[in-house]
Amino acid sequence: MRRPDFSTIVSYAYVIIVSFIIIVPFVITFIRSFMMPDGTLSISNYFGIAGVFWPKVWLSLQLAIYTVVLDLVITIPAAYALTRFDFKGKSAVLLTLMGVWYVPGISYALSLILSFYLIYKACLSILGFIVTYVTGFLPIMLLSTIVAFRRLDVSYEEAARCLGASGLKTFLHVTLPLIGPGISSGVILTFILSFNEFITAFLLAGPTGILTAPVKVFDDISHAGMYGFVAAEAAILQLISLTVIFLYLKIVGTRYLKGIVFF
Amino acid sequence: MKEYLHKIRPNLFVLPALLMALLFFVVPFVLLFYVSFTEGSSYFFNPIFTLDNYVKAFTDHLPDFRNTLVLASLGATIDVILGYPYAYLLNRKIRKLGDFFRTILLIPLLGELYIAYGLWWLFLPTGPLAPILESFGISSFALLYTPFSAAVALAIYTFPFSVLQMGINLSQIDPVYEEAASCLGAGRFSRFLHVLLPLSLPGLMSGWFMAFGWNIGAYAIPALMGGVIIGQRVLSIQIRAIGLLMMNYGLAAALASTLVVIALVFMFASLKVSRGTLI
Repeated sequence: MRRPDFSTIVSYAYVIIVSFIIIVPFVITFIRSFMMPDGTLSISNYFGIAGVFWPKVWLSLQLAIYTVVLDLVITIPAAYALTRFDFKGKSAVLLTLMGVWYVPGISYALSLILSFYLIYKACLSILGFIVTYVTGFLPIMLLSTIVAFRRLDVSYEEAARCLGASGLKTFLHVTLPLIGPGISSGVILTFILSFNEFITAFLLAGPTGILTAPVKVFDDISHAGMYGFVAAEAAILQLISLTVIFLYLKIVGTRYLKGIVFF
Repeated sequence: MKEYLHKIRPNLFVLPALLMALLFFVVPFVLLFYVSFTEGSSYFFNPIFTLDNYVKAFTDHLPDFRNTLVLASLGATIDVILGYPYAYLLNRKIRKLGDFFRTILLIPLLGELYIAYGLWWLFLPTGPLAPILESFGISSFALLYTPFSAAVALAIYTFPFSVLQMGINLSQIDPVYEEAASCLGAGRFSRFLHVLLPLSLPGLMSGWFMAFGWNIGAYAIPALMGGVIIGQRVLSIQIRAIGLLMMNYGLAAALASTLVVIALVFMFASLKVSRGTLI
């Protein structure tokens, strides 16, 4: 067996140290959630979480699922058209769809609140959260669906059409099963981002009176940051997100994240 | 009829997504720019048009701009300094466990809230880091509520974005160039300075721009870690306070519009120099 040379050891050491720095805030929250004021470890912080927290977690989960489903429904046809057809104003369409990703969340949230007050009055409810999340996370879903369509060879669809399948049949039986794994990266990212979305939800909490789980955690941090139960709340939200990421990597692996969040 | 349907089909396919983006992205931002030229919350009753909001934004709120830009650029600079070797090593050196380290980069996507909370406790004068600091003779009060602590938190928040930009750029550079330089007798340092750095400069710049563009919108990190003097006087916190708490929508809209313009300039600069992917 060849011994690793010095530069390899240094490389791994560097990458490990930087990775550690990145996960420190998250690890710290987990440790904190088991710590009592006197420094002993116990799980009693988790029993200190107020009952109102759990419906908010459920609300955030529901919002994340709605966002993923609605985003899938509207981005798959859009990505199909953007990759398979050439039409007038294509780059303008792409810019309109992607633009929101580059706008700071605080400005986006303020503009939405103004429009909810003045135009879309029905959105001063849970509907406001849904449209905000669906539009706000559309770019990330669109990006991964476009990547999935680009990777798919057109010849499969052409073969199905040659064998007499209709356009819709081809799409349902050939295209959709083949791009399924590819768009899974968009599903996972949209889910994680919308489940943990903070700033837009924080601003919308004012006019709508609806608190999502991350906003509740921020609220508790600002009012009772020193207490252990706040760490337990944050740890639960992180744990849900990390479990979803872990399951995804276990089932699908990393290959469909390449070109989207991996390089 | 069928011909016509065939022709407009792509337009039909993009229509639902485009409608969402128009209704809930384009229209609200047009409204935001419009409101930014009206006085206070007069827009809701009978709009009084004025440029006062922008005058105020660039005089009274100049410190907010300065704090935001200073914190964001500190964070982005830490990102690039730590992230450039990280992206390089993941590309060229790390073979085993490469995907594991890439997966680590997904974790900051959980959001700034958890990063701010975790580091806030770590940096507290009674937190776990204080005894270590004091053994080096540094006061345990030196960390929290300083620009430094907020910048570190921002750097962790945007680390994945800048590493991604730099990594994509580095993966497009053929190692042949470095090998050629080394065959011609270039040492390790001059190989980096004269070959790799000029080739990867677009990635470096786009990584910095991208991190900066994300940093200026952060809310929870400056709120929890920046302290009263700097942390409370950044644009995101001021926009919420002025708009939603003081009901001065005109001024808040003016600040928010300016923030959008700054973010867009940097994000598109990033995309321009890298010609790369989108996040």
